Amino acid sequence: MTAHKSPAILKGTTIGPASASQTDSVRTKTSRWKRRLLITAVCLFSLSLFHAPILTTYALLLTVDSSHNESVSTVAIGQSLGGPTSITEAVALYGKQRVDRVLIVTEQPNRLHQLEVLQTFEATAQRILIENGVPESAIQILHRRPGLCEWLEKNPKSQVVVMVHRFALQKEAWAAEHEFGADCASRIQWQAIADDRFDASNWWQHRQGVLLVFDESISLAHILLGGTPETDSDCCLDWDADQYEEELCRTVGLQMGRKRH
Amino acid sequence: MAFMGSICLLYLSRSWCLPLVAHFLDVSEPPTQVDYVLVLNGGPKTRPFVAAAMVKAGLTNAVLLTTASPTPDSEAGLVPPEQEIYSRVLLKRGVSADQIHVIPGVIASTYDEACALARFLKSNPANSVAIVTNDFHTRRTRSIFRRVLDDLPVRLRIVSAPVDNIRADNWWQSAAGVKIYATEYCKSVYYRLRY
Repeated sequence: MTAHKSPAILKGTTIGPASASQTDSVRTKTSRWKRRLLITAVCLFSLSLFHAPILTTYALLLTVDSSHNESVSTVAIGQSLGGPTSITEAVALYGKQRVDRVLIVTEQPNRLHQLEVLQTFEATAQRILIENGVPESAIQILHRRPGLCEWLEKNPKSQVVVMVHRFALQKEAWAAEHEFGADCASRIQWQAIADDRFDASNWWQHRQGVLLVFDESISLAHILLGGTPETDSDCCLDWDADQYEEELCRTVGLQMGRKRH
Repeated sequence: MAFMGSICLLYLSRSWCLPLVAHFLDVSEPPTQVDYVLVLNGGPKTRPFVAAAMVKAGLTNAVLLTTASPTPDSEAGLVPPEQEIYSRVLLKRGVSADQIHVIPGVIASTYDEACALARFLKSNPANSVAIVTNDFHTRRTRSIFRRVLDDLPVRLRIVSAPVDNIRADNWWQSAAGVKIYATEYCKSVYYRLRY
């Protein structure tokens, strides 16, 4: 009897097992998606509620234990390690008599140094250290990062405190293992440079904090995925400003010549 | 399976795909005759050199600089402020002091620089301004400057300055290159949402 009825009448009625299973399938898919949405909403809500401890924990992953062993009497500073702020930290450590030797790790001079627009890091560091009472005999210049490794090899019983930006500690520790080997790397103590603006517990509230954590996360990931550590050979200049200026002047001269003709 | 296949395909074609990631961000134009050149903060190793070249080539007579918010290093007197570095580079490269103008106000972002230029142009109208920034930064710069200066009758030209050792065909091979492009894409999304 039902086979003779029009489809319009049959629509919406349960007429057989095939349609029932289709309806169940649709219901199952809908409830599955609802469940997924609910789980996502709960996760996002939890992340929002507990964002502070989560972000703090993440930032702590980028650091290493940086307690200063009182028996270590040598501190190393460099542009790519802790930057200019590490100079004042080294001065403070020397002033408190916690170190008696300062190693300055040099960098490849860049375009600004060659143009004498900026002093090199080692020149600035030497000047400030001497101005603040550190004798020249206590200052040693090391030729770039391999120089630090050579110093550790020549002084097999010595340890050194290296001043580094807080969120770069983990990256530098990994890079040192890769560059210097386990023995030399084990004799390096990493010391975080204090930053008044933010720390691991509030970095996300500051633009510079977000940028720093992001940068150091990428650097660490790059090293962990087999990338080479950033070395100061990255500072080699492959753009010639003089050539650029010459070509621009030549191009403009040619254009002016064409316009006149 | 399809996902793994896509990942493998992306990996195998990385030397073709990855440069596109960089090229997408570079919308720079060749330098041309302009009334002013604005040099954006954040790239002292190349940007002021390009601006100086434009002055030396006779493309402009005036270079605009902005005052970046101070860093702990500059506040402690360990390094000069960024606009001071830019000024020194320009002077060393043959730009005269009267060709250098510092726009008042402290800036902390590209958006702030666009607002500073808008304020400057309201009292110093111009037909054309070239904005010098690094190649990866040009797309976001063009977008935000066009938006902020929309009501001003000024033609903008975005001129790129390179980054040493980092190019479209090798940016993924160094941590610095990955940082630059990853940060720029994140900032682009942020700017799209925020401004």
